Amino acid sequence: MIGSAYGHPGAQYASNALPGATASRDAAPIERSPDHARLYDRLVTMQAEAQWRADLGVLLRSPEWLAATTVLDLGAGNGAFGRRLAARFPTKSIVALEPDAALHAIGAQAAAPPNYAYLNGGFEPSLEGFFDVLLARGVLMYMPERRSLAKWAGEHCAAALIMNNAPAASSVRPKLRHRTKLVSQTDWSHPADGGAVKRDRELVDTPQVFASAGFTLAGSTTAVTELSGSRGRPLAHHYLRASVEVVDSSAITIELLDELFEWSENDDACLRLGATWYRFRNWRGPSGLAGAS
Amino acid sequence: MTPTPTSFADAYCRMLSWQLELLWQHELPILASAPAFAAAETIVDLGAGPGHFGRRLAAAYPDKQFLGVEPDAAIYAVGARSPCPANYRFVNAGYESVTGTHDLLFARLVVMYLPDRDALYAWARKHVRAAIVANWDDAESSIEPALPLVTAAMEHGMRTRADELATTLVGDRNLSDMPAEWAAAGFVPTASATLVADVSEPEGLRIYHHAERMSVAATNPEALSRPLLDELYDWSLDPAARVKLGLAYHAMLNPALTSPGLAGTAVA
Repeated sequence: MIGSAYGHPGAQYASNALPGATASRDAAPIERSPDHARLYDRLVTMQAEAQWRADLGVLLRSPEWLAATTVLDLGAGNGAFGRRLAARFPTKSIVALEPDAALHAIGAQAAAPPNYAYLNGGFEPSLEGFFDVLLARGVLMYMPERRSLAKWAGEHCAAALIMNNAPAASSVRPKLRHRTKLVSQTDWSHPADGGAVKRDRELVDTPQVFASAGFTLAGSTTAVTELSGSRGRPLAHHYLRASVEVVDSSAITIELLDELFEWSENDDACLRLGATWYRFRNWRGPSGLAGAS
Repeated sequence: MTPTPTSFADAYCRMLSWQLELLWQHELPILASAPAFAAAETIVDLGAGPGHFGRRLAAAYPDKQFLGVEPDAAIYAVGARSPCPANYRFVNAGYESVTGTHDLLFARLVVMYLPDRDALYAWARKHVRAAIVANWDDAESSIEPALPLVTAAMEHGMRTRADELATTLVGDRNLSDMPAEWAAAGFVPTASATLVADVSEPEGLRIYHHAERMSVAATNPEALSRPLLDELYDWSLDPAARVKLGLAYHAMLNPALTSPGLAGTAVA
C-alpha cells in the first residue's frame, strides 16, 4: 500500500522542511492573528462536531477510505475533525497539514491519537510523499489554483476524497435578518476568510479539475446535517454566532445576539449544513486500489 | 414560532425547558428504579411548573395516570400552550384542592418554595400513599469557572424583585433534613439518593448557557448586556468549564395509607 512504509505518520516530514517556508501561489498564505485564529478554532470545532455523523457516514460508505492506510488531511484546520477520524480509525496513519500558524498553534495543544500527525504547512507542488487518500474537507475553496493540487495528487495519491460546501443544500430556517444581511455584505476574498472567492464556494468544476489530472469520479453524494430540536438548536446558535464572528467580530451586536437567541428558542428552528463529497480514483497511480473496482 | 419572552413566567418556563434537557437523562433512572414510583398507578405532580417534566414522565409511562398541579396562573398558562399526553391532566391549582387518594406524590424542586411545609405534610398524610421528593443539593452543585456577571445579575434581580418572585424563586434551600421532616409528619423514609449530574460535555455546556441566559431573562432582563452574554458564551466554549448539578432524592411511605404493594417495596 502506498505510503505504508513510512511508518509513523509524518515521520518523513521535518517541521523545518515543511511547505510554506517558501510561499507559492497555491500555498495562499493565511496568516490569522491569534485572536482571529481563536475565533476560527471555535467555528471549526463546532463544525466538526456538527458534521461528524454525516461526514463519517460518507466515509464509511467509501471503498477508497475503507481501504486506505495512509491519508493526507490537507487544510486540516485545527485538527478537530482529523483527530476524531484518527481515533475512529486507529489503523490509518493520517498526516494533517494546516498552513495557518496561529490556528495550528491552537490545534497542536489538543491531545491527538498516535496515528495523527498534525503539522504546520500548506500544499505546494514540491510536497513529497505518497498517500492512499488525499482528504480535502472544506478546503478547496481557499485554493485559487486547484488544478495544481489535482495534478500533484495525480502523482502522489491513489484516491481523493473532496468535500465542498453545498450552499444549495444549506439553509437557516427561519431566516436571520441581521445575519443574512451581514453575510451578503461580506467580502469573501478578504484574507481573513482565507482568500476564498464567493463564486467559487460551490466548486462545481471539481470533477473536471480532478479528471484533468487523471482521476476518475467514482461517486459523489451530498451529505446534509440538520441541527434542530432542543439539543441541536444550542449548537446551531453557537455555530451561527461563531460564523459571524470569524467574518466580523464587530458585527456581534446586541440586536444580532437577540435575534440569534430568539431563533434558538424557536422549536421549529433548523440549521442545515450541506456538503458535497466527491470520490476520485487515480487509475494511473501505482495503487492496489486501482484494481479494486 | 415561540414568541420573545415578555414575562417572568415565559422566561422562567423556557429556563425550565433547558434545565430539563440537562437533567432528564440523569433523573429518569433514579425514578425508574424507585419502587414507590414503579408501583404507583396514580401520581400527583406537585408544583408542576409548565409541566415539562411531568409530560415526559407521562409519555414514558403511559400506564400511569398523572395529575399535574401548578398554582401559579401565569406559569400554568405558559404550560397550557403545549399539548399533554392523554394520561397527564394539567390543572391550575394548588395541592390543597386535590382530593381523593393517590399512590404517589412527586414533588420535584418545589418543596423549597412552599411557605408552610407542615400544611403539605398534613395534606399528604390524608391523600398519598407515598412521596418522592427531589431538591437541589447545593453541596454537590458547582460551576467552574465562575460567571460573575451572570451571578450578580441574578442576585440583583432576586433582591429587587423579591416580592414578585417570592413564590417561585425565593425559597428555603436548606432542605438537608427533609427525610426527618417527613418522618416527624408520620411518613417512613425508605430510601435516599444523591444525584450529581455532570453536564460538562460541550452539548451540556451549550444547553446550560441557554438555561442561564433564560434565568437572567426571568430574574433581571435589563441585565442582558453584551458583556454578560459574552461572558456566558465564552464560558460555554471554554474547554475548562465544568458544571455539576446536585439533586437529593428522598422516598417516603405513608403508613396510614400504604397499600400492600407499596409497603413491601422499601429499599435501603
